Amino acid sequence: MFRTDICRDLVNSIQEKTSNVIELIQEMNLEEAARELESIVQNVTNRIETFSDELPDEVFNEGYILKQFIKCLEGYVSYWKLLVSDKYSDSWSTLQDIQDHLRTVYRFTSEPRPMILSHIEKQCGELEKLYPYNVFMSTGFIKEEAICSLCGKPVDSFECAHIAGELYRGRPAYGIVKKADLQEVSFVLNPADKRCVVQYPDTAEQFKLVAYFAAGLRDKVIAPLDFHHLDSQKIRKTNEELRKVSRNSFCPCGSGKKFKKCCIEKSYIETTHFVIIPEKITLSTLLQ
Amino acid sequence: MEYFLESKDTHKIEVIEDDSDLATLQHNVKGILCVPEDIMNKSQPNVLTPQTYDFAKWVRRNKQDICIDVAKSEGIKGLHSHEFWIPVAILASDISIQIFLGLVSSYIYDRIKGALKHDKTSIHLQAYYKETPEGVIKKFSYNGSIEGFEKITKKFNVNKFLD
Repeated sequence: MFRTDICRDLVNSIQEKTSNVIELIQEMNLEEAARELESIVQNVTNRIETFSDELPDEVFNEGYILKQFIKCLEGYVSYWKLLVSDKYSDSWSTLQDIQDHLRTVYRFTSEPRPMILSHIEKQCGELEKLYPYNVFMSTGFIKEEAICSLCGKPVDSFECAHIAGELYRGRPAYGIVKKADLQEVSFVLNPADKRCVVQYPDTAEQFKLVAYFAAGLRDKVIAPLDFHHLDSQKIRKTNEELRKVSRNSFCPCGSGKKFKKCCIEKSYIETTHFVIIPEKITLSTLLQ
Repeated sequence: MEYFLESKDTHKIEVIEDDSDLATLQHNVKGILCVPEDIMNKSQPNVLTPQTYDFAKWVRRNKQDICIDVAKSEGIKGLHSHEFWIPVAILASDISIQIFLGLVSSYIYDRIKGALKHDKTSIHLQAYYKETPEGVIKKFSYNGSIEGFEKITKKFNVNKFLD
């Protein structure tokens, strides 16, 4: 994933600790995994701070990407911690953070990448299905003033040579909106930021599925890295709310018609049955 | 109230009947001129699409043989959606619509390098160009998925669309 010798050495120096973090996650020893990651972050940050100014841009850029990779793992640990603490609403935002770090790593690196990244990517996509969010809110506004994070010049002009989202000696360029006129808030299926959702309390019925999954983690029925995907199938079940009467009796709904000519069709209801599908993985392959 | 929850891939080529303003603009530009949205509909705000300067800077850096400029506007639209709003473009005679679509395709490819497998991104674009030999000004527009756009770019043949 890294092309410079300096960053490859840096990765090798944290390889053992990173493997340890993955094992700790799998054992649900999440506090220890978070502590271990903190020490990795410190180590990497210290090393990056000692990079000589004479080194090429690529070294600084790879240093930034490595930090994003570690932040992705930090988010991954936080996610499971939030989930088993029944903080479902916050866990959704953390799931988005993980994916943002992944996008940054993917954007600036090429294959081959450690398998853990594609594993987390796939899991994130499947984990999102556990949540009740399908429609999101998205803002539309007119930017009147936005400056570049690096040079401070208007980002929407040729005065600023930076392109938002790109790296310049290990620093990302982005626009900082100083003045904007909000035009609309729309409901969309595909927002840039999925964090803007209807807020439900963590105890809400809408989190039933994610709560069920969290219980499975706590009871060690499934380990974090073994979650593979969520399967769903439509099933027909007896409608318990429908009072049973004989076919030729008057329908209990009060329509005055015979049951067979009225609500008999409602004797069964169709619901979605979800199945959490695990897959046993070999931890040692994840950092390859 | 408008609903845009489900989007389908749509493309259209139309002949611009009242093209005097556009013809003057097109005559005076070289390469590509990015203009505010709804240039033909004066009731809409005179703003540039969200990706205007990003696209223009990208072209200037990566395709230095192509001239690109941005017209003055009252502001720039900002959206929090997973969509590429390519600037509304007026193409001078030295840029064919095929070249422009190829350019947009390269830009999109570069921009979606970091996309995850389950990310869905869509594109919106409009370009005005002069069709030879008739000399009429036409508008090409596309709204839809990246996959759909790639298919259009590959198969693009203006005459077939007008059949």
